[in-house]
Amino acid sequence: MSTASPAPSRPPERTILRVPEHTVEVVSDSGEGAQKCAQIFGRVSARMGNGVWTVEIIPAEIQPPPRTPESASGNRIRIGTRPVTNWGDHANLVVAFNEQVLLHRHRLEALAKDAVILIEDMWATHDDPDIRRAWNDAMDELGQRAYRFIPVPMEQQCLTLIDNPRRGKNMFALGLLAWIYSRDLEKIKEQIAHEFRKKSPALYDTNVALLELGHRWAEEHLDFRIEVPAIASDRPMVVMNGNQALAFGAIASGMELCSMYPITPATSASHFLSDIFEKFGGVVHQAEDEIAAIGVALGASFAGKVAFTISSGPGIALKTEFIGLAVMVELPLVIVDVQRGGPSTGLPTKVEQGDLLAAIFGQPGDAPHVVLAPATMEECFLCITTARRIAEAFRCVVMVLSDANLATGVQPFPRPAVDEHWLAQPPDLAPVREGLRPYDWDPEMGTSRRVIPGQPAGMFTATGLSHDELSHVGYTPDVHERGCVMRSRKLAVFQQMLKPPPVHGDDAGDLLVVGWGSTLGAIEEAVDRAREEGLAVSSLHLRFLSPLEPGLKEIFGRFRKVMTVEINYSDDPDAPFITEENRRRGQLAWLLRASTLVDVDCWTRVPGEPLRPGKILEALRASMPQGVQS
Amino acid sequence: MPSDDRVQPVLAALEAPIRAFHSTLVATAEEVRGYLATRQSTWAARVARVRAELGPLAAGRVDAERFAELFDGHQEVDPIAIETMTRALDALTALAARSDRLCRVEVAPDASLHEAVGRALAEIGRAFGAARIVHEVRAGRYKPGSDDRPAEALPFARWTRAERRLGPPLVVRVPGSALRAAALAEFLDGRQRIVLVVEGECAPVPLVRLVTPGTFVLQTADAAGLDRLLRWDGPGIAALVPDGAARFVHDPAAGAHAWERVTLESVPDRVPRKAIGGLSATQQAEELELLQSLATRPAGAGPRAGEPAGGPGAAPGAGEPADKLAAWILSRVDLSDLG
Repeated sequence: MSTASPAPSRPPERTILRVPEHTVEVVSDSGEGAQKCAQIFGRVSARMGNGVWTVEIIPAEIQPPPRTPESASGNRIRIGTRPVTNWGDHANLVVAFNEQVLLHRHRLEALAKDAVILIEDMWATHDDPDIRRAWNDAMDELGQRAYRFIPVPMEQQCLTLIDNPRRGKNMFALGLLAWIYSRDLEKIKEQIAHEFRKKSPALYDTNVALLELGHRWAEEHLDFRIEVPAIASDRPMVVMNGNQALAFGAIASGMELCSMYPITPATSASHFLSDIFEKFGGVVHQAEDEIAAIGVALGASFAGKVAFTISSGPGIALKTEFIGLAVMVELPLVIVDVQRGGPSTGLPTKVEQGDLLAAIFGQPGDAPHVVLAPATMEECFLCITTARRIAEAFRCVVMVLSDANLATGVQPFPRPAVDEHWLAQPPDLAPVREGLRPYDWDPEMGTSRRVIPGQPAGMFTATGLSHDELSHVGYTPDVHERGCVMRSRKLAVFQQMLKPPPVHGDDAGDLLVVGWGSTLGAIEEAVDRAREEGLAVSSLHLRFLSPLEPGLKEIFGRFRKVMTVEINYSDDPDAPFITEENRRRGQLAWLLRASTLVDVDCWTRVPGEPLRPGKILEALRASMPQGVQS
Repeated sequence: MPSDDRVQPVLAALEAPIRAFHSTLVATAEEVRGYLATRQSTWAARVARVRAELGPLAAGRVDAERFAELFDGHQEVDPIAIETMTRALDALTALAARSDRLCRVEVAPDASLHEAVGRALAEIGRAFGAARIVHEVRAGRYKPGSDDRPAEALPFARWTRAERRLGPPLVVRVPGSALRAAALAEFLDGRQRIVLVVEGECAPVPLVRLVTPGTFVLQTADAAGLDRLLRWDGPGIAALVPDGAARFVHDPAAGAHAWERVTLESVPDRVPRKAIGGLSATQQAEELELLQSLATRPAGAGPRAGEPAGGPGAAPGAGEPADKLAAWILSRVDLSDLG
């Protein structure tokens, strides 16, 4: 560690570090506004043309004790000259509001060995001896690394403008970052105005004054600046997180009803939607519980409306019975699961891909349905349109698996060219032709025409009991057998409409990495780095997980080894008691092994944070098949 | 009729519902255009449409042609229905092109206000007629020969309950001499709003006969109070009247009784002496009396909604049952000889 000495009051010379990418973290106690600071910084960087990926650092508790490592709250923002697809490995620059939250990030090895740390210095000389002691202890621990510390009198500076710096340091910190990275102050002010649009004008003025104070302080005291050149896109871009994208996507797809019950990390999508949905003819219905939420969506679908419900793992568990009913009654329904760590309440604010098997197989009986997973914020926007069309065409449930990483992270992407066809045709309400039954299954394909009560001659009794083509309850073996076959067969028909997934990298080689969901960027970055090292590694990323995309066995056959990389639990093969026979594997690995009979290995982690490309790269090197130099 | 500088502020005050109706027209026209395009397309175009419906995420992942083979089975549409749809589209497009002119009515001095308003609403009704045709065709219920005249006017009397809530407000410039407002009662239903900009002298309370429990009625000097008309989720009429007329508001949301709902701002002190707007001086005087009787609080009536018991100056809590009981006992006891 370099000595925590004050920076010169007016540095004679400044170093300008020009880099293709840089990663910043802003961390504070929960409630001090580091997230707001970082969100504005990320959005403005995106608007200036930089590639951006942000990840929220969220404590597990709503109001954890202040000045504790567990209280760390903030954001990591990775900005680059080119598009950024994941949060990277380590932060190069940190703004920390106290040493304890910094310690938290240090212990998670989130900081680069040579990270520059701008730290609030008031704690070093605090009146409370316990706080001074904690500061010294933390500095001893942090001193094991070659971080460069720059003490910043944030509290003292903010007190020149406001009485409660706890409510203003974040804007001062934003000013520091704005100067260091040469961000456009006017754009930042516009973003502040937008963020605080529902607050008083006086609050905007105070925030801007604090921003300018931080900017001035940085200009007078810091001896370095960082330049991450931006390449302005020739296409208009939008900047949003995955939950906002889901909400916009729901509107663009012509959804008419979102029925939900609040649950982290899905809630923000429906909150956002509730602000704007009515302007587009939609309704957000907050039900009394998760079961009622899917019940309302299902009822709306039965009546011919286009509905979806959104939740997270524990909520999806509660919806299980109604998912089964939707499958049995063959009602089109889109269900969004924004995954978090589990089981049970698990890690409400943290990312995990632990719901895959529950999403596919979590219902009693045989309940075949489609499961798809967006991999980027842009795909969060686009997936609802696709899901809706498939659900309506096949009279089936489509589950969309997002996760906390996509939900809260921010990424710019080209402004979608919204197409009126996404709204699809309204249901055909022509009189039901004579002889058409509510489940007039095509005997080969299992598909049938949707009948809507209210349509002339369209009335029928929907039942969750096993039924025949007329929706008449039937307990005979042939009725149940036929219903199961028909509901399953249409998934096979859909699978045959899918195309084999493209391979990232060479079409053949030593190792194929298979992923799904939000890990796309980290996996591809790791694969690209491995390929630069000369390793014959490729990757493949699945969007459709049920039914699985076709051609996988053939693709797998071109590689000496296949391995999934996922954010869910698997046993370490070298752990005590773990054998080839009893080893529990990553969820996609289970699925691929079962469906392709290929010996698919896995590397999975459940750290409660997104995977880092560097860690994946280490795993790839270690996983190369025998005989390959790594 | 010369231009009236009071019309523009009224249009500005009513901008939101006028624009909303215009947006509905444009959106419906777009939808019809899209429908027609899909019904008159080649196989390649239909595949392209299915591809578009599946969205960009499906591009390269879902075979749109196979999807279209299975799921592009729309019912056949009668060519006559397509032709009728095309005329409906023309009607919608023409109405949308008229923008806020669709909502403006000019009444000549010797013309009928009732007929002019009825004509304007029937013209707006063309949009509903067109939309009905579109709905019938799309739902497969269209029968050639019946209801296939979307280009024709649809009188207000034939509007459905839903359509009466969708119609845009009308702004009617009318000379005081032609102001026979009572005849407009039949148009005050659903959420229909009418604003009269009165030119020249008129009867003192031309709108009072339109006061019914669910109708918002306003006589005022300028457009300033029209926001209250828009806030009422029901039918309403307002008139911008000259100085000699009464100013009052009947707000259905203000209470259960007429005297709670009617607020008088000013009543002319002169007695009407000549006939105007088809009303004799006696009829005008009766209208004034009617207004005053509607606004008068009956003896023994409680406070207005939201007003403390006993009126604006009454002590807090005077409306409580115990206080009412005490007041009644005191009214029965002669306390004049006590201490």
